[in-house]
Amino acid sequence: MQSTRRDALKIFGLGGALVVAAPSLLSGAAQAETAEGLFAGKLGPFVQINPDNSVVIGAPVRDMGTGVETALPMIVAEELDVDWAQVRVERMPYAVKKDAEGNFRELYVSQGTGGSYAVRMAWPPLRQCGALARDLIVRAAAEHWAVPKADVSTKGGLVTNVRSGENKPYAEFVSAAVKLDMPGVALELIEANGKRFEVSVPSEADGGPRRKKRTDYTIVGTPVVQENIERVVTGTEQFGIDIDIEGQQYAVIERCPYFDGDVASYKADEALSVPGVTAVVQVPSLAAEGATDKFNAPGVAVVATSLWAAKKGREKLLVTWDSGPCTHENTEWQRQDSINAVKSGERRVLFEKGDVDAALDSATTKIKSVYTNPYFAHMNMEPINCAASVEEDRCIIATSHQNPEGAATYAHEKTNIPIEKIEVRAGRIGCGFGRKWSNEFVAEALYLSREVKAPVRVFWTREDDVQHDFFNSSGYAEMQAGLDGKGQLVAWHGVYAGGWGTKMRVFPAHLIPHMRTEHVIHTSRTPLGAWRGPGNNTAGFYISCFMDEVAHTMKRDPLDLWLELLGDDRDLPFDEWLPDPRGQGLSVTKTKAVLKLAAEKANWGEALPNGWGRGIAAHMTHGGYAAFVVDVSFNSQTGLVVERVYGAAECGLIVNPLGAKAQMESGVIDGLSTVLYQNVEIDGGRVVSDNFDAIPLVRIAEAPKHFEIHFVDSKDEPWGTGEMALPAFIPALMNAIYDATGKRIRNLPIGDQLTA
Amino acid sequence: MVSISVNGKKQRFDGDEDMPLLWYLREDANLKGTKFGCGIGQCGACTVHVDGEATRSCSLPMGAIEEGTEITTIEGLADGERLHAVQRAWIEHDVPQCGYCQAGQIMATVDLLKKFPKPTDQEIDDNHDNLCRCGTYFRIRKAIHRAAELLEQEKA
Repeated sequence: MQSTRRDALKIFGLGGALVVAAPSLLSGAAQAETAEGLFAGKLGPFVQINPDNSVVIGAPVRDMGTGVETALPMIVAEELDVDWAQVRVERMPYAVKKDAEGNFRELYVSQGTGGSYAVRMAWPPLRQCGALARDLIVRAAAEHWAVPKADVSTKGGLVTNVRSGENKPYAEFVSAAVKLDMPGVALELIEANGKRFEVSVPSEADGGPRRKKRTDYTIVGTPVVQENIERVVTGTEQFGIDIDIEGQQYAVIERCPYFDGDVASYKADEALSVPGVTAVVQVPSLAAEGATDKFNAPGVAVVATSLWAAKKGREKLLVTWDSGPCTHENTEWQRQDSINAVKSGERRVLFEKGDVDAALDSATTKIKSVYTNPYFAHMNMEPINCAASVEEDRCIIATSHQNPEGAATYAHEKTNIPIEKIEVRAGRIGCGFGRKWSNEFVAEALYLSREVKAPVRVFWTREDDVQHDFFNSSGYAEMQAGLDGKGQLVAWHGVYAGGWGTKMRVFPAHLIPHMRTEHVIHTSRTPLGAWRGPGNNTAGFYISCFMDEVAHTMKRDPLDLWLELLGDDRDLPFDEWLPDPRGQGLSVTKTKAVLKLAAEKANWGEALPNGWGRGIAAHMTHGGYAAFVVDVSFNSQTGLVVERVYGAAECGLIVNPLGAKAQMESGVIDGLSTVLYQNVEIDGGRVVSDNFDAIPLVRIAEAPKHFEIHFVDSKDEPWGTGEMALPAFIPALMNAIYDATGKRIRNLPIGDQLTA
Repeated sequence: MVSISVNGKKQRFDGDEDMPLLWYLREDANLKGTKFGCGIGQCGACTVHVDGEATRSCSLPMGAIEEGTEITTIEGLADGERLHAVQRAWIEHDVPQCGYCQAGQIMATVDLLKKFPKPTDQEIDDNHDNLCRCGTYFRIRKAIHRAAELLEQEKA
């Protein structure tokens, strides 16, 4: 056990966003702790019960539109056995603690949000903590009534003496409960997708708290309107961009637009003459030594007492650029670069079975298609932003960040300020989609605060945000299939060129006798980063659209073909970072279940109105399985209309159906935006697209009006929902477009390909 | 120097007339509910009411604002503790995801419903184009229809 009362007190330290770390650690043998000692008088890290029996539950992960500030507290409330109406949710300070080797580890749960993992990772520890808190109340009540624990029941925040029928609110037992010993309960360093400290609680069999049976759930699995929604609709919610640091100045940075370029020279005089401008500061590359990928773009910052003055000052700044080694790069060059990579680059095999080359050679019918997609930008509603205050012995960071722990650790490493003196004021995140995981925007703010010796908010305009994004890679995929003399699908080959890998280990891997998928890295220097469903977002498009082509060539119904290929229910091996760590394979059972559910709800096979078309596709992303049936119409007057969307998902137990549906709806709209509008233009070694006029994204008029989302009744624990819809929706949509128009669109975005 | 009213409070402004209203609201008036999204009037995250009209505040310079203009932001929409019908409809349909664009969506909808008290889907499509990057449009549409109902009930 590694905890002291002092740690706990500091962790809950007064009100601030601060958190923090144990200066020293006990390394002795485990001892029975009390909640008072381990959790500073609370019933656990997440639970506080007030004298009026109202309950405050801590939300440990920042919401970025994923509903986790509701879903995670629901899990605690369920095991605690209270009514949701009693519950108020409070955003918890971000918290870390030093391990025995001196490394900082997150405390209680993983507090980052990305990879569709917030709910999945938090499910076990949150259940433990909810169950532990309830157990303490039950034990205190049992002592009070002098009855065995088994004769005490709970419901809706009330404890009942089963023998006498007497009821009392939880609140009456809190002061006794926090003084009880908690044998076997400790703060333990665990390793599961990274190391962190979690509260370990003995199992029920070992005398630990009861865990609820799923059939007894009253909160988890019910539709709950998100907590704190009133703050959002009244404009009082704080996003990172809204959190000022007292005395802050504003900076805007004119960053080098060229990949791997730099500042050659600059003239600051005119900028400095703008009223309010206080400093002009060159910002070098802040990348770690030896790093070859872009971190921040070097540039020149204009610092001022107001944002407007800083922006005006930047307009007066004269900077000449060293345009770097990539000015030959443009969108067409990049396409050729990918073709060259496929021809002569070093290929990495993702999946191989049988002898695909021989099978393709001897195939009676060969099908070959090339699919491409451009770079996708994040275009988060809340642009990147960060304020920092670096003093000699303390540091404040105010921002929207998907991984506050990473931001704090970075600040600690760069400033040598002890991590317990680094305060991360992390607000609600106005979209992230993977972009707000990095630290280069934190680095700039830290750098400028140190340079001007004052708190500085680095403001990113939309143009800054788009042009200095870390993009989803462009992709170029050559797909081939072979049918034998009997018309059976016997060979499948996919090769993908892009800036990084693709998730082409999913189905039809294993399902076709001869198969190989491989990828090869292109040479473009366009900066890359995680973007909703990394590697999956385009793999779904390549695979499920090509399978649709194969089905049409075979004159088969695509759903029938998929189901026949999938065959009997089973799990197949899957060698990817997710769905680990729980060791799940690639599930035939779940893929069939989502395909069948979507098809059933859409009444697959029914006749459609004239001019309509229908498509189907499924894809597994980070362990979540989604399938869509999409209906579109097309005519020259109305253009393309997405008429109906039927989605099905198997992502384990659904904690909050209202929130999970929102994630699916979101993936659909994002998928539609992607195929219609995502088209980051590169020319002269720089990003040319810069705002929503270049990349408008879908508005309400284009959004489908008929929308159904259905979940497979799953026996599994909860998995993430944020990323699985888009990779399955895009191919379903593109297949529907083919069905409606006879045009197979293989190059994104759609642009004028339907009317040309 | 110009006198304006922001959420019913008299304010004076004598700063840089080029500065857009958005930055006056967020920085000078410290009303951070109105959001910056694009700076070119494309996304609508900064929508406020200027004399009752939904306006993209990122593209309205302070110099263009006349004496006595009444500005309402999301913070001034509710009637004291009682939320506006549009806000209540937004809660009922659990509209927001990240929530960043929703102040603008709500302010735009309030104005839309003044012009189209019972809007058809087509009228919504033609007159509401605020961007929601999370894609909450399915719920926004339902909430707009619901808000129209609530407003009608309030009148009755």
